[in-house]
Amino acid sequence: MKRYILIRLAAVVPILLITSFFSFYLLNLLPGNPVDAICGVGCTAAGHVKLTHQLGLDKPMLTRYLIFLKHALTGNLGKSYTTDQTVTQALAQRLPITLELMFLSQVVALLIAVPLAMATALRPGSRLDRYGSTFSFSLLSTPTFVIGVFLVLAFAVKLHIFPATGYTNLTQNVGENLKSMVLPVITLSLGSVAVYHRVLRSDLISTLQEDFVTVAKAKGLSTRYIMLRHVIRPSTLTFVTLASLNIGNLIGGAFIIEVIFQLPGIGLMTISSILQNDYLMVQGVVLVTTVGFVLLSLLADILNAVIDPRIRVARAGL
Amino acid sequence: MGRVIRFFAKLKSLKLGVGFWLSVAWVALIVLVAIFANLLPLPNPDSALEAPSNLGPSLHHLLGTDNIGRDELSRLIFGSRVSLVVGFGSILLGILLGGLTGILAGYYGKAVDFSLNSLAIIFLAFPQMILILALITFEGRSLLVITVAIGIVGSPLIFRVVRSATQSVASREYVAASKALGASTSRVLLKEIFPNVAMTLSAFVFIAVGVAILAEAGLSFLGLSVPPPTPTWGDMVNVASSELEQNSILWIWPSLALLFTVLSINVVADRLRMKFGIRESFL
Repeated sequence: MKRYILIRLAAVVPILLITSFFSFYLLNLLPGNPVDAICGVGCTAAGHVKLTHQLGLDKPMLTRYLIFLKHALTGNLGKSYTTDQTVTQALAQRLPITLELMFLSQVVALLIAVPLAMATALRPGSRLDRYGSTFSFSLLSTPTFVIGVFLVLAFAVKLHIFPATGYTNLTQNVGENLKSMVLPVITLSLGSVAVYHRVLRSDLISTLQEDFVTVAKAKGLSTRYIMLRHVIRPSTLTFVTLASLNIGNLIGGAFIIEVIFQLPGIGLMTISSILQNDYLMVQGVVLVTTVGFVLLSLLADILNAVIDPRIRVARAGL
Repeated sequence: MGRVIRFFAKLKSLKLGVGFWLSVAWVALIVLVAIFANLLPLPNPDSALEAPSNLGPSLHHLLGTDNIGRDELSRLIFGSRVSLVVGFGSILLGILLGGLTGILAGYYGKAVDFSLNSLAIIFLAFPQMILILALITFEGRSLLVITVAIGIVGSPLIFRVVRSATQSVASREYVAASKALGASTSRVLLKEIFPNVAMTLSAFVFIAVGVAILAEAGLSFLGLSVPPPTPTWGDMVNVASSELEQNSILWIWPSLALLFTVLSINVVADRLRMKFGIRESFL
C-alpha cells in the first residue's frame, strides 16, 4: 500500500511541473507584447519599463519560470491590477466559498444518487427504473444555468422562499449562510446526480449478477443486508474514478452558478478578472485550481486502491 | 424510385425507434434553419427597439421580443449558428488532432504510444473549463478561438477513445491476415482498422458534440463567448434571466432550444452505441 502511494505521488511531480509551466506560459500567449496588453492605453514609457521589469520579462525564459515557481511556492502570485489585493489574498478569501459550494453539492448529489441507484438497480426495467433513467438522461442534456434560472424563477421570484442572490459568510451566521446556499447547491448537485446514478446503477446491476450475491441470497440474508454489505463496495470502483473526473465539471459548473447567484467565490472573481483583462489574477486561478484538481485526482486514485486490493497489487508491480 | 424505397426499407429494418428519428428530425431542422436563416422572412435579429420590449408571443413576433425589443424567434434561429459551428467544428478539430494520433498510438504502441499517451494524460490533468477560460483570456474571444479552444480541450478524450478502440482492433485475426498478405501499413490502417474504429468513434462523437454545445452555451451565458450583438443561446438565457420579474417566459425559448438540441444529439449517440454494442465504460 505504502509503495503504491509513493509511486503515485512520484508521478504527480512531473504533472505539477508541467501544469505550473503552462500557467506561467499563459502570459506569453497574449497577442503582441504582454506589457502593451496589460499596460493598456495611456501607458507611459516609464510605466512600460517598470512593468517589464515587474513581470520579469527582461530575463530569459527559464530564469523567469524558476522565479515564477519560487514566488508561487512562497505564496506570491503577484498583484491584481484592478483591485489592490494580492492574488493570494483574493484566492484565500474566495476559495472557501467555492469549496463549500462544491462540497455541499456532492453531499446532496450522493444523498440522492446512491439510494436512487440502489432502488433502480434492484428492479431494472421497472417503472421507477425507466423514470429514473429518463430523468438522468434529460439532466445530462440540460445546461447548468438553465436549471439555475428555473430555480431562481420558481423559488425566488415567484415563491419568495429562498434568496436569488446575496451571500452571508459561514462565520457570521450559519443559518443564513445555508439559506443562501440552498439554490446554488441544488443547481450544482443535479448534474452530478445524473452522472452518478447512471454509472452506479449499471455497476450495481452487474455486481448483483455475481455468484457471491446468489450465495448470499441462498443463505437467506435480507436484500438490505446484501446490498449494504456485499454489493456496494465492489460496485464503487468506476464510481470513485468518475467522481474524481467529475471534479473538473464541478469547477466549471461552480463558476457559472456563482455568476447566477452572485456568490463571491473564485468563479465570480475569475469571470470579472477575464472581462477586465486582469491577467495575473487569471494566471493565479489557473495555477491554484489545476494543482488542486491534480491533488484531488491523486486522492481518488489512492481511495480506489483502498477499496480494491487488486489495484494496489497490479499497479505497484509496474 | 425503387432504390429510394429500398433505402427506406433498410433504414426501417435497423429498428432505431421513434425517439431516434424524432431526434434526427430536430437536428436536421436546426441545421437547415441555421443555414437558410437569411432567406427566412424574419426581422433583423440585431435591430433593437423595432418593437416594444418584453412583448409576449404574438402573430408579429411568434416568441415575443427581448428586453430591448429584438425579435426572439429571429435571434433564436440566428443563434443556432454559433452553437452548431462551435459544436461540430470543435469536435471535427478534436477528431483530426485526437483521432489521428489515437490511431497511430494504438497501432504502433511502444514509444509512440507512451509519448502520445503521456501528453494526453497531462492535458487531462487540467480542469477543462479552466483550460478553455485560460485560452480565451489570453487569446481573445472570437468564434475561431472558442471553437479551437473547445476542440483542443476535447482532443485528448477523443485520443483515448480512438487509442483503446485501435488497440482492440489491431489484435484481431483479420488484421494479422491482411498483414500476412503483404498489405502496406497505410492499407491496413485505412481498410482494416479505420472502418472499425470509426463505428466506436461515431457514438462518442455525438456525445462530444453535445458536450461542446453545452460548453459554448456556458461560456456565452457568462458573456465570454462570441461578443454581442451576435445572438447566442447562452447569452439569450443570460439576458432573459435578468428580466424574470418583467418577462417570466422569455428564458424558456433559448433554454428549450438548447435542451432539445443536446438531448436529440445524446439520443442519437445512445442508439448508435446500443446498435454497435459499444460498452459505456469504453466511452
